[in-house]
Amino acid sequence: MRARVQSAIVNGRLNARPRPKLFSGRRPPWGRYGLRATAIIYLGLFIAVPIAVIARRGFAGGARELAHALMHPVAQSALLLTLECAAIMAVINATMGTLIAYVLVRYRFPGRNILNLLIDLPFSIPTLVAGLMIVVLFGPAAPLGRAFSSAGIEVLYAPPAIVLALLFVTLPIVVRAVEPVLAEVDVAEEEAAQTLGASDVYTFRKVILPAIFPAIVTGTLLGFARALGELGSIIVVGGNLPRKSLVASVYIFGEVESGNNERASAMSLVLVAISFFLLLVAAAYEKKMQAKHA
Amino acid sequence: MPKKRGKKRSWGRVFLIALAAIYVVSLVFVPLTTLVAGAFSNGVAAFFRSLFHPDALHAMRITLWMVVWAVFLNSVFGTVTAWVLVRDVFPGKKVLSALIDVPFAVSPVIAGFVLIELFGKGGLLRSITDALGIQVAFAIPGMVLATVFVSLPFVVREVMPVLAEIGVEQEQAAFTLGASPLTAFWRVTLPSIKWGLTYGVTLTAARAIGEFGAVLVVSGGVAGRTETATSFVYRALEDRNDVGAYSMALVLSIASVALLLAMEKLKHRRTGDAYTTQTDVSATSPTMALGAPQKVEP
Amino acid sequence: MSVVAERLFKRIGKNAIVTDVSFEARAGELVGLLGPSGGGKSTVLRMIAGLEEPDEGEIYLCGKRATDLPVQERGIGFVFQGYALFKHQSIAQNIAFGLEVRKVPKAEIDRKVGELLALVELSGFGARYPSELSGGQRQRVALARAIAPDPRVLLLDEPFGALDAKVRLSLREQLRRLTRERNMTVILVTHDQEEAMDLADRVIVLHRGRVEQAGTPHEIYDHPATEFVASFVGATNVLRGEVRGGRTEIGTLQVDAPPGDHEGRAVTAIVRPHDIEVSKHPDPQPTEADSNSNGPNLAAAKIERLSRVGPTVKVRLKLEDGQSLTVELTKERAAELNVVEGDWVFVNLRETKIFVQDYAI
Repeated sequence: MRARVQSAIVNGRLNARPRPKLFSGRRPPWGRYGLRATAIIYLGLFIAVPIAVIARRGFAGGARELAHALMHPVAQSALLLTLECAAIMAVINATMGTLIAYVLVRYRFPGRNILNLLIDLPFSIPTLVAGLMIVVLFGPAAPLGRAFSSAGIEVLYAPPAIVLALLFVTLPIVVRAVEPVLAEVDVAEEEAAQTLGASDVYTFRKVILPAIFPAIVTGTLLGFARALGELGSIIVVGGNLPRKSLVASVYIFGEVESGNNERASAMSLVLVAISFFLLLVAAAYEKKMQAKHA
Repeated sequence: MPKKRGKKRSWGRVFLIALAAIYVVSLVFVPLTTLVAGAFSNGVAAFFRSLFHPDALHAMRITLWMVVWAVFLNSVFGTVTAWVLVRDVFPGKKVLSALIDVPFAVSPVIAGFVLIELFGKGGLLRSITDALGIQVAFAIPGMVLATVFVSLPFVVREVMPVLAEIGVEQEQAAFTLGASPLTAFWRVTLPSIKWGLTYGVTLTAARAIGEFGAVLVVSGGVAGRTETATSFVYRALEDRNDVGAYSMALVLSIASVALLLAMEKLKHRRTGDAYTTQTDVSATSPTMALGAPQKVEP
Repeated sequence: MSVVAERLFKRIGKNAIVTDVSFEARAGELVGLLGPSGGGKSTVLRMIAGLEEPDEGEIYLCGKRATDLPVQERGIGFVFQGYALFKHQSIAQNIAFGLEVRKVPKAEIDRKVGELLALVELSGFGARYPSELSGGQRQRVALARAIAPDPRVLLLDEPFGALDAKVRLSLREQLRRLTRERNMTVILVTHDQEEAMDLADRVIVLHRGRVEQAGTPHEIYDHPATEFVASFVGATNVLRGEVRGGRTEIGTLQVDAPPGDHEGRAVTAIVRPHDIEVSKHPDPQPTEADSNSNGPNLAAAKIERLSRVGPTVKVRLKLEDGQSLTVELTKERAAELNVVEGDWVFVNLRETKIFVQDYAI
């Protein structure tokens, strides 16, 4: 639009004569409207409609029915377990993700490229397959599985396996969120801190952490949101025992399979609401931090 | 020469690198290798036998079909959407832009469930599809919709920054040379966004191959009909057909590793085409640096 | 506190960055490390600071071996090329950083930060962030931050590189004042020969990782030890010639040959633009600067361009053999000559430095 107006001005100046038909006679940009409409329909159809359906269905029976569906002990424990596992995952992910990003950005070492590649693997491997790998690794036939079970630690078909699956699935998120921000931090800032007498740990805490903290928060929140909806890996490793290892997404899956659409809707609404809230918080936080140091 | 400081410092470095490597390797690499072992646990013959089972072959075909549809629809409409979001100005653009990331936030199970709500028994749009004679739920169209939904953000998100980076000058230059908008797009814009688009397509394909929840919910996963490769793995596990599950899982892993390697290659191309090479203007001789032009050239 | 660098070597991969560099900065001295970009000066500075390890050689601070001392314990202040201010900390926090690390009491820190802000003329800027300051202001913050913990040695890496000429001059003045008052030993890395000559007590010229010459600015300028130093420091004309019959011939010009037997060797003559006499006629009044020559020392040259730069007039000349020459004249002398572009004049070299060419080029 702007470009067109601009070129019209240029034209006007070049041909000193006034061009009376410039505006009145101009054809509307149908092509542009067509593209715009296509984009709106595409996103509307695929995204806005589904959201509307969840919202409508969730509230169809009124708040009371919604609350009733959620008060069901199985639903309640599923939601709680999901949040717990996601929270544990988030803490580990934030720590390890930051560490991995630091190592990748600041150090050059043999095998760095392979490490870099492995980190992206969870983005491309089907999560169901990821779950399957964990099953093989910790199954009763595998040495690792035997070792844990003889030590009396239940991994497979229990919350630890769920956390493990979530760690696998969300591994790249924090790393890839922190990496570019860390790369922007001038190495000279670290060196400056050192010449002023600061230890490595102090330098990290005072100079690097403040710079990358927003990215850690955003990455962690995104990972958390992703974990809430994860199905493929958990359905395989979790065992899906109600009130023990059944998470919200598997609960929805089960309720849809058995035709309890009301319960599925209620849980869907809650999950979508939490995810959206987290994403909004992440976006707002990022914006605020950007504004502060622009 | 002994250097206490060097040693002390590099120990911290080695420790951090080792920690990162051990974490990633044990979380990602070790499981991957055990999967290989699992697939061949009953021998190579069993591996191939389970893969050439009619249900397995059909499942792979369905998955390939899903990839083709998702890549086709998302690359065409995704590019249009990216163009509109970068170049067009209209009220409500911000809202539209925010919608793109929604599939990242919505669980695939929920996406599948929504499609059932829309097209299943007594669904909101059921009367329309019935009148048209199309079955969506528990059929291929519903699975395509589910796959397109979960993989929608990739092309848009990859093409948008490239479009923003190349700016409008090149397109305008094409216009001044008499090119129609369509010609300008084919000859100027598309070649510039080619690698970004390809990267987005690769991500879309990887996501489409791996999708499980949404497709399973909307299709019901009927063996030999609406079962995808991932659903096949799931059913094989339920049926205690372990080698079948591992074998298909291994094929899926190989496909994703191949896509991952393609992505890694494209990553550099993608950023490479956005930048123009800059000539080095730094001083080549001390006299040039000082602005003393009095030197006689030998 | 003195700084001694003893036979420093540093290689990165196959490239020798620093080769056998030794020098000393005595207590309270301001030493300039001068050289073209990529000459290894920054690496030397970083090795002194402990930010990089020498492959070989030793660093002594205050007479004590410091080669293995971590950066943190060397007690040096460092001003980085791009300032390296902490972007996520306010100006006051930046300056306070080194004091907080040393666990100085809060009240003391506040007092000192206020003092330093006043010293670098940035009072009232304490709460701002680096992104809100101009380049010159940032530079001053970097300086204040580096000297806050009272280091005995201050190392500066191209501190004024990115600033415009005016700001550079005033900051130079400020730096000199601050470091003199505190009796700090200062090592300054710069590629700006004027800056080095103006600021430093002693200048060390580094080229391709080696020390070309060390000396006072006066020595460096008037008695350059190598062709590189002569052509790098100050504006110069470089002329090609040959030693023939005990004289150096540069076209039709003749000057003394360098000591030793170099008969038939190619030489380079370095002449400062203000060491060239221009006259309209081939019979100039003999001046004491003529001592250099005892034969015909005049050459005809054509004026290609005249330009007025400040108080001087730059004359670009072409000798008969095609070599170009730039001469600086006072505007009075130029008026006296009254020549225009295209005129032929005669030049006389008052002072030349002759360097015999290495065959190994």
